[in-house]
Amino acid sequence: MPTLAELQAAFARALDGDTAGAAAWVEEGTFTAEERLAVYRHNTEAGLLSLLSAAYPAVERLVGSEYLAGLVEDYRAAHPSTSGNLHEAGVAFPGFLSARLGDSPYAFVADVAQLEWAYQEVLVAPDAAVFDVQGFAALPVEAHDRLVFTLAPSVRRVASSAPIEALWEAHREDVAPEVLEALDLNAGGDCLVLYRVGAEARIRHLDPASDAFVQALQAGQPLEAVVAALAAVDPERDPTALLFEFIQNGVIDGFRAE
Amino acid sequence: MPVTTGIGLRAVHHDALWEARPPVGWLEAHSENYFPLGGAQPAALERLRSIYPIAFHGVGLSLGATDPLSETHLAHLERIVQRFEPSIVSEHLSFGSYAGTHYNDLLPLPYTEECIAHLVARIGAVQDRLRRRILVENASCYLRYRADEMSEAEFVREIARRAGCGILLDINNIYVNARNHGLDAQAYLQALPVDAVGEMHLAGHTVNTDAGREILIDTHIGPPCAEVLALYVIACARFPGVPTLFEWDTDVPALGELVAVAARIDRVRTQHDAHAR
Repeated sequence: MPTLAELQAAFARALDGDTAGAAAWVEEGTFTAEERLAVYRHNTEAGLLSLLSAAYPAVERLVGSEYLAGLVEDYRAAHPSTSGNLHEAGVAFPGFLSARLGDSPYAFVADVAQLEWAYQEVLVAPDAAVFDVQGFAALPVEAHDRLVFTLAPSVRRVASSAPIEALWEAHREDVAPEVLEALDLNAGGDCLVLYRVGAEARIRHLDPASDAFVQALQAGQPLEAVVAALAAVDPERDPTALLFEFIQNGVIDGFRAE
Repeated sequence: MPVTTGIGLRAVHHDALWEARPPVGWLEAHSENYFPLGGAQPAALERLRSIYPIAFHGVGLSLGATDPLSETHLAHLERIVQRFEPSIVSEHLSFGSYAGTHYNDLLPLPYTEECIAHLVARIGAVQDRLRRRILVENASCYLRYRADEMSEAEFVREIARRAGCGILLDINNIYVNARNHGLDAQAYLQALPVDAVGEMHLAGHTVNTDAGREILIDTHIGPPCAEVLALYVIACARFPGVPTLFEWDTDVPALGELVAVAARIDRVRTQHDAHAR
């Protein structure tokens, strides 16, 4: 008789399609061993499909439910879940779509998926700290350049050459056909920063200058370097206004000396 | 935990529960749904636990796996148990992973001495980590192994006895397994020690047929059928003073319907639970 480990190894192979080992150890009867093992394979794939459908509703509307279902087996093979928390099983899906669709006219679907996953991450991220306004005000001005401003845990940046926010908004729920017809895939790309205020996720478009600002912040650069990154794209842009906007809306939730 | 009937907590019902405060006994949350460190889910549970007793019911710990227990998963579970102080913490007698790959399903275990010893050690480690007794649920299964050395009831009984844990007795799962594998459901109930059962689950199932053959699947759709309720009546008399949880996890209905079914179940419970009379 198999050990527990041998039996579980065979069962795992059965879930991936190789039933020979496990089937020899399964009692038959009304149903064959293969049929019984198939129930679990179906459960595993159905559970993953349900998760992907819930996490990527816009992608599902873009590609169709049948196409999404057809991806499950390949996705599971390419990116087996490494967590007992089913919610995490979809994390690799945008990358999977990018690899599958990257050279096709539908590459933008992978970017929409990235936006959808980022949105989910924003919703469940740890709460932001409360910016220490008094502490900041007490700092001498000459200390500002060496400060590293920290981004709230919910902050995510998503960029695409396609208008992914409009695509996502149009496909999150069922909308009128004229809304879909008005979408223009050639309308230009999006650079977005997502963050949470209270329980709500917010999306802000980033122009090239503010995108350089955000990327420098994300890289943990001191303010001096963040301002330089902004000026490299737009020398006339006021860094103070951006800094205070992001502090006020919670994108920045703290600071530390470098 | 009050000896009454609770319902499964679903995110879609968070606001309605808070606003309407229907008369349900308690709420059972899937542990993994409350692993997030921020956002609406934990905030909602904080509010709801101020008005309802809560329990955590996990599906992803993979208690029966030969893989090491996941430190990440245990740490999350420990954190939410400390934060939300549930009256009951439970998991499943199943495995869900092998060699680091998780299948996110409740996979069947063999009823063997080796498996019992393995589970006893794992349950002990979890109870030590959480510093509390947990309940382990009898899982529905769609196959049996040639390697089985004992009945399912004996397997569950021995695990509870040796691990010092409690049993979350899923009446629907007993019925599903009885129909799928020919086991004696009433004998199953009689085989379990009275004081080991800390909670009961009731749920619906689906009967799938193929060329005249049928298999019952534990789909958690709809109210329990008459046969499951009849088994539950026997269980209420055998295991008095045990809270019941009604699960409806698929095609989840409006909160009102969930509450109504739970109320009907509670009337059955109070009628047959010796401690309620």
